Amino acid sequence: MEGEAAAAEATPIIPGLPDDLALLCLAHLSHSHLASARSTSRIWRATLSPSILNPIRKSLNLPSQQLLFLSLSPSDSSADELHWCIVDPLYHRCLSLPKPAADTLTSLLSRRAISTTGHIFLHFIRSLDEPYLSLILFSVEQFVINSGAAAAHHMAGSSQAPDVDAAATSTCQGNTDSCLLKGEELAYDIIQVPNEDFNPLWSAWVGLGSRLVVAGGTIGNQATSMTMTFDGCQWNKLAQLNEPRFMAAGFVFKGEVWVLGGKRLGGAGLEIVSSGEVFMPKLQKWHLVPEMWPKHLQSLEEKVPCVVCFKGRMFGLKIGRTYVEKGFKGKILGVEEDSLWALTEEPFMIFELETSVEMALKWARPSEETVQTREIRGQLSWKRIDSELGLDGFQRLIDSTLIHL
Amino acid sequence: MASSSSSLPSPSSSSSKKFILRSSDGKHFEVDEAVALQSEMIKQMVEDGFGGDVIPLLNVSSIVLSKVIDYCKKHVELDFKKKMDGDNEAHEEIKNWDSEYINVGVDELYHLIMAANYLHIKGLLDLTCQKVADIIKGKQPEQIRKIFNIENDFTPEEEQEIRKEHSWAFE
Repeated sequence: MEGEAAAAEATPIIPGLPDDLALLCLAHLSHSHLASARSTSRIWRATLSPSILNPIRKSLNLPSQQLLFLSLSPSDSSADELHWCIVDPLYHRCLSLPKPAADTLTSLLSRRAISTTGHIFLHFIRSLDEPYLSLILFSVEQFVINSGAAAAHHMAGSSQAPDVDAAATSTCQGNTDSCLLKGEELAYDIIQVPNEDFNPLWSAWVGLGSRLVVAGGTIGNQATSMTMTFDGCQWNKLAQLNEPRFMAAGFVFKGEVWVLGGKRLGGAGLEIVSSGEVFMPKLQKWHLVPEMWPKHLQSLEEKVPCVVCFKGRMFGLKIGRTYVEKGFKGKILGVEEDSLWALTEEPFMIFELETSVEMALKWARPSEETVQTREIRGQLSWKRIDSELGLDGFQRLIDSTLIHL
Repeated sequence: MASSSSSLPSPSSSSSKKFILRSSDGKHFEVDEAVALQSEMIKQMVEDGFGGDVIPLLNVSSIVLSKVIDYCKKHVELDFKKKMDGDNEAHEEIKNWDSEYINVGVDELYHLIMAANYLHIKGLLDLTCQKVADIIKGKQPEQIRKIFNIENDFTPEEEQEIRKEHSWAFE
């Protein structure tokens, strides 16, 4: 398909505009308009692929349009059990990736996966003998799906309810040929956390440009306010957060790093931190925004809250659920609040990776109005896709994660 | 066309320094410092000590430059307003003004993109690039080709195949 590159070379992408600027323009196209645009000419067809546009979108702080789903088997450390695939929300397909050349990876911490312009960072527990966490660093390029060759498995028209989508059943795992992969195996580097003093659990992780920011977390039993960045080679200390916190949401909004909510140990026990903080690069300081995090966005039981950007605004995504009451005297012992959420803007879809009670990977296509309402769960029509994608079962889903590419 | 409003109080009009910008065709434009510094490129030049008398802009014609200056002036003014009246109101005004401003033909749009890129005016570059994407939005391939003067170089077989692939995109 890419064979005509030589002929295409001479053709400008947009006549009258240098190619780099044409690309900049086309990167502003949302996913749902790409299909039509790709049918314009050969050069557009070759150019309008995620592998070319995603890095540009990222550098422009535009919302990402590809979701990566990663899954590992927790009990068995043999690499055969590792399962990696990319979920493409537009074409509703799942592409299996070759397994990583992994020998000692045991457990992936599901909420600790972040992509920057160049890399994907995963936080692993490397082996049971080694209590310290390790960062695994992949090159993003290895994960990018090439243009929509396997488009047969697309979703039906944009306004249709997910459950009438018959095409979903034809989603398959076999389309590795349309993956842009260098070599047979996924190569990776293991990065050591900077030092023994800073190896926190439950930090907020954010990818900004080419840098990873790790803010807060717990060290020992204490919430920390320490913040570090990693640029792919080196760790650097950033200014401390104003308020120590862990299990906070980390988020990039309009090119700025935000850390929102989270928990700390107060006088009366565990409490929710109600502030947010944004990093000001010029002052090299975190700016505290008090009371910006309504407490109902995060419960003490759930792990990490979800913040999303939608139509240029920041939203706390919290999908109302019924609490599971167990035990006696109505005391809540366990709650169903342990899901990973991801959102794609165009087409507008919500993905849920549920790793607590039900174990499911599912998606829904809410209407835009639904988002504004407080109680949207009842109005969403969820479609499970884990079994179609060959991901069903506890083993496959428990150590999984969703990453925006 | 949004005519540039004459003499609204700019942030510091009394004490403001003036810069003279020279277009590629040799025309001179006198602008306030705040307006000129909307361009990161000019800002860099000034910081490096090249901000003396006349700043030559070799890649921007006078027609395009005056349009770019309109943009910079308005945004300096609106930024100032934003500080005074608060975010929401100004935000709405910026949006409306921008959409009026960018309502131009593709050739003019290309020139603005190139100028915004050369002068490093991020807001203008975002605005103009987004405009190109907005033009493409919701259009059929045939319409896109026509607007952007692109040749359809697919063979009929290829076209058939693409049509099948994306049949839902042509609804």
